[in-house]
Amino acid sequence: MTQSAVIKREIVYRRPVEVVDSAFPSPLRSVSESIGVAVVVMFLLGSTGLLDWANGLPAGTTIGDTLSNLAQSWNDAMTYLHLARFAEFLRQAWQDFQNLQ
Amino acid sequence: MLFPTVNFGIFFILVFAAAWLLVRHHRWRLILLTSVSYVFYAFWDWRFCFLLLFSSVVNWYFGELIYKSEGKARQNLVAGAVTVDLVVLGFFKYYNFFLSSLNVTLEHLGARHDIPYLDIVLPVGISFFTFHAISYVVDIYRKKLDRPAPLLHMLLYISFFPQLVAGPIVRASHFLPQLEHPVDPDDIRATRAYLLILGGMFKKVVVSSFLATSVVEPVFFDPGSFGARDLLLAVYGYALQIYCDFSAYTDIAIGVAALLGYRFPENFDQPYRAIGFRDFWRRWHISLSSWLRDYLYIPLGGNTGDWRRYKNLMITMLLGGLWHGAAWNFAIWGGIHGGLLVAEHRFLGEHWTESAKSWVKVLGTVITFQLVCLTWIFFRAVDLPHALSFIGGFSRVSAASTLATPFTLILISVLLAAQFLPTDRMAILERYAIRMPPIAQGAVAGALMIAIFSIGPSGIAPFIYFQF
Repeated sequence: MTQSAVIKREIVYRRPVEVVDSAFPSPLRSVSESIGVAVVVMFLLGSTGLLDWANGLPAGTTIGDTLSNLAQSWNDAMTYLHLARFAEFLRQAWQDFQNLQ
Repeated sequence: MLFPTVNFGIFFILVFAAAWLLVRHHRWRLILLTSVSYVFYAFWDWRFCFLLLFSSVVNWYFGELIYKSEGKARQNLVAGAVTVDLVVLGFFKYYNFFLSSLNVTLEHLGARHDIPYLDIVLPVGISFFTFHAISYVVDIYRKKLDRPAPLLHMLLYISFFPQLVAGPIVRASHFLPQLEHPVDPDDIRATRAYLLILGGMFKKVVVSSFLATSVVEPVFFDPGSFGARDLLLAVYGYALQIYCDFSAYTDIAIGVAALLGYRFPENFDQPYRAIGFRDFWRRWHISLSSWLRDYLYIPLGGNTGDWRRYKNLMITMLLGGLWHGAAWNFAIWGGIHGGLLVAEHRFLGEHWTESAKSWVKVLGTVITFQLVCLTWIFFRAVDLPHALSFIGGFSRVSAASTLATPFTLILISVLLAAQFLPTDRMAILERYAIRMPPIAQGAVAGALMIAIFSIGPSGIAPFIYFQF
């Protein structure tokens, strides 16, 4: 067998396998809906993380200060509605699991 | 910009929206994706965007020349392109390693010539985009591509942000044809993408971070302070940490690309269930091992004759080791893998796993995993003396474990057991998820994302493979 024949045989033999090859297709409309809802849910339940992120932005800049104030107000509202407890509850439960002796 | 950050979340939502708004304007969509990929790369160091541009344009031009040439000129051109790529990679990645080795050699020979080092910053992802570039010129040379790509397609292929800094290594002949036609807005593999992204986030944010900080880093930093049980725990911990860390990156990359309408190849296939080393390398970093096979091992001569095969295997694995980094411990890691592959070919033959009895397969899986773990010590240790000190520490068998908590043992056991889940586990999960309406899918995905970030430690370490 010539070297080029070896190359051809080996390369044709194993093509890259795609993970998403056998997956179900979805139309753009439903994908946009699901991503939109995911973002809203993350805003509602992840206000503490959002505040941490905003507080990490450079202080003293207009954008940084504005986002930080907005995130603080948002987190206060979500805390008032008890939605911020979701993340806190999970964090505590996971911590307790880690500390099992 | 790391995947598991708010910054990337905002970046991706904006890119997703803009890219699908431009779905009827194919050329503008590609321009947008190329531009945002350069912005993504500039978050690390904007100066290296010029290196990315240089690599893309030079290889694109070589591709044009190779396509128009015949015979010997064609061979010389592809050799020239690969040489340029390797010189750039070698300068940034191996220059100081080469000088260090040269200085040591000169000192041993009694000639003290301290050649000064250069202050070189390693561009993130250079090993990956160099392999993409080589793939392009070689695929044109081998006529795996019908024609050279337009410059815009080449710029996007080299810089496409999901795979830019840590793979998977997507071949030109696999990705460029996807850019020739507009993506279909009715064919987005979204549910599978959500599962990949959520799974990747869990593996990185929760599992990899925990194993790194609680088990692996303390032990590898000072192996002399720990007994055999903790050393063993750290080795198993690192085997799972690097798997979770790297497969997390590629799973997220595949998911992100799928949401934009593109398909990437699989990169991991439950590697720790491998029966033997041939099987391991068909499951671990598949895009690199298959790249090395097709672009290095086969051009070296491949399987033509036993001894030539063994020599080619050793060369391929040694270079595969050095691809990870300019250090002797990576060369040793690659060398051991090469040696074990040669031994498997020599003593067990090519198809031994197909005819082996069940108990032999089980034994093969156990032995392969232990040997792979042994090689990880060289891969993870900061240098060779640390690796040897680590291995020497296994003699301290009577020392009590200080790291083995119930949580750590449960986590490691569950992760190892997960290697033996059905191979179509993702499809099974997807069949359940797809029954939910899109709004419910989004709500569950959003809640799970928050859950993952809630239980993970604050602050995300960079992915391990960013350093390569």
